Amino acid sequence: MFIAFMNFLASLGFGIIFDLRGKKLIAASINGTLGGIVYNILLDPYGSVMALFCASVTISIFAMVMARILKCPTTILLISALVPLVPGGMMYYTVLDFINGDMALALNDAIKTFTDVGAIVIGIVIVSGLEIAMRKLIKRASLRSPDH
Amino acid sequence: MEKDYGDRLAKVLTRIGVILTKSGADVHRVEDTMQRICKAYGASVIDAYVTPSLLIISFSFSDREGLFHNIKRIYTSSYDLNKIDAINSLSREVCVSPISLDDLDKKLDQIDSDHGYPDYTLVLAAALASFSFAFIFGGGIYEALCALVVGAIVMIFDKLVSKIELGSFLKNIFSGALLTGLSMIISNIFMVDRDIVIIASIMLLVPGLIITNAVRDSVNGDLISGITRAIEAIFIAVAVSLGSGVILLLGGI
Repeated sequence: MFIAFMNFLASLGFGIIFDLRGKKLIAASINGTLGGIVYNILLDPYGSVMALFCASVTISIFAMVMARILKCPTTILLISALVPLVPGGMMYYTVLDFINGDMALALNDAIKTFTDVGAIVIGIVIVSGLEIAMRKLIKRASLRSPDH
Repeated sequence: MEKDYGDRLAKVLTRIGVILTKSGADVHRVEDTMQRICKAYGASVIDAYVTPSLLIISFSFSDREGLFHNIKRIYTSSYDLNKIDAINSLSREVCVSPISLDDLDKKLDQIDSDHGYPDYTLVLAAALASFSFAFIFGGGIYEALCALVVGAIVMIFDKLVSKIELGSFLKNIFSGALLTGLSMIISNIFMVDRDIVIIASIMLLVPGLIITNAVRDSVNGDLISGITRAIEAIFIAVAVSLGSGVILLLGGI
């Protein structure tokens, strides 16, 4: 609960840095909270890749739905919610191991950073792909209607 | 219809595209917005091509002669999601009921001159974000307070440096170095976990926005923009790591 609130604050901070306003700022922060909750629930049983993937899918779907409701682009609700999931910590540990001269551990951490980013990316890819497919369907339907 | 209507329309359209691209919209949205508005103003055959650094629009009218184009080179970007949103709603309005090109230009002036939150709010937001990141990464209240200070200083540095156009790579090296150095000093003074303070404030420099855009562009089929942005994200991550790595080495880890 406490961590979820901290996720909310982190997304709120990023929302302000990227200049979101009003309802959209709150929606993006709630989106970040959702992602944080999903990530924390799934982290222990399934590991970080699965947790990040599910969190990123949740965030993308919520952003897509809220964008339809608030009539704004999906991206602006997506970005500040996704930033807290990016593995900045792993990136730092990679550098730290590199400097320590522990190449095996550094490589291990580098690969983990990439797989973590990959998990987030695949989450966005799947939902964005669905969104594009939906958009094309709607376009086709509106072209067929006689008043267009 | 006045004589230079097409040329003026082309100028306004590229202006819309430039604002959107600079603010960090995905390429598909920029092309789509330009094409929609162009159509709403009566053009028939419309082609728009956008990458993060170049913008091309070409269109013609079915009821008059001439082919109109405009090309714009984009150099710097300043991410501002509110502008994307504002242009999106403007485009919705305009597509339903087109206003005169002068009015459209004035509205764009209005959107473009909005600089968003004042600098001190951004500093507070950065402090808040790194404060909460410290808890997310398993720190206690003392780590969080140290991260708060470091996050605020990183943001102040970012705002100062953005005035002298250092370039993204150098700026991120310096930001990474500053953040790591400060965290090391502060965590030594207050006896807190150095790693958590560094991670909590390094999250401010992580290229989350660019990664998201790179992915969305690639999925949309705009592979050139996707690759450009992916490389940009990797460059930023490398720069930040380089900066903090050098300081870690100098500081004897």
